[in-house]
Amino acid sequence: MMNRLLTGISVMALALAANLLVQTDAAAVDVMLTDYLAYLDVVQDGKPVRIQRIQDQDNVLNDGFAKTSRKCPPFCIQPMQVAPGVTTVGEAEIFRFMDRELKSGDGLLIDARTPSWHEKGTIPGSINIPFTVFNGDDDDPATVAALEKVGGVQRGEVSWLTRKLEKVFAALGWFGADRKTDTWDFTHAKQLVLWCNGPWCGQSPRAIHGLLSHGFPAENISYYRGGMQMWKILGLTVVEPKPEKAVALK
Amino acid sequence: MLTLLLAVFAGGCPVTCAAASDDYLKALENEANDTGARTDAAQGDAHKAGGVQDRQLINPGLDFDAFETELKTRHAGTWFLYNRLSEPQRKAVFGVYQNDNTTSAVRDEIVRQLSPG
Repeated sequence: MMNRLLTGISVMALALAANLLVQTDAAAVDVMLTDYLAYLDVVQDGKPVRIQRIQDQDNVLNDGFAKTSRKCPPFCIQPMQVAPGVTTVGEAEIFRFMDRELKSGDGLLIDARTPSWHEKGTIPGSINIPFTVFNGDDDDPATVAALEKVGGVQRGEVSWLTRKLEKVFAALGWFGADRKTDTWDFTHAKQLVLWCNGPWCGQSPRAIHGLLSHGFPAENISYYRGGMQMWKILGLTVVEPKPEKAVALK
Repeated sequence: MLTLLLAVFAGGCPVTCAAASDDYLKALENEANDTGARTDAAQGDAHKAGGVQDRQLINPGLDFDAFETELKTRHAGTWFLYNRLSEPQRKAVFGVYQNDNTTSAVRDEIVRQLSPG
């Protein structure tokens, strides 16, 4: 009885305070993603996730991504241009990519880190394909599955003459022949954005070099160099993926 | 040894590269453990993780169920009031949270929903 009374009083007091003091616009966001975008919804593990920024303007990072120094090598600062033809992007481009290619299914956002990193938290909308998978051989089932996932089609027997012609056409830039190798056809390659832990992380650059070594077109690859470190510094939403969604490390 | 030399002289480096790759993976795993950092995510482990630890913030990006779990487990006081709301009122609170993950914004909306009229 006493508890109920106290509860009632506290609710009334809070309600009164609310009436007097709280007339804020619920939709107002002080910390937007960009000057035109307050938030963005993506799908993670079949569920919608809203990407937004932490609204507390006094918030600071206090986890491992606040760390400034790691042994180099191997954790060395990566260049802006990771490979010829590959575009380096920032957060605003990622938002646009999420809103267009990711939503339409024409693109994939790839967390190229090993599962032990991925499972601690990832950028919403990402799938985990560790860099080791892209660096596998053409006959490795995990590599084949990953290359098919990004839009590659494994080719059967291709005649010597066909390949010869394709190489000529590729040199001339005709018929999209430059998107074919002896073993893969990347005519319908998806647009990819690969990322890892940040400017000190070599995992996504390695994944990109792996993709290129299989003949994946460079113009379909973007590198988010800022990675998890910049994502977190900006207070952007991070999700923990379902464990079974992580791809096993080879 | 002979294999190693042959491999190096053959222009490739299957053995040395594999070793380097193993070292890199080992360093990555060690760093993953050191960096630790379960992040500011939906699974409620953020206290230990160092992501959103502050009670003034609710972990961002949660769906409705996870949002309720988060309130229940980390913000008992707010949950106490929230628990008295009807389903549509709860959805309204969730809508506010989606735009502003500060606990104060969520509390204000709860109180607004509770207030008569």
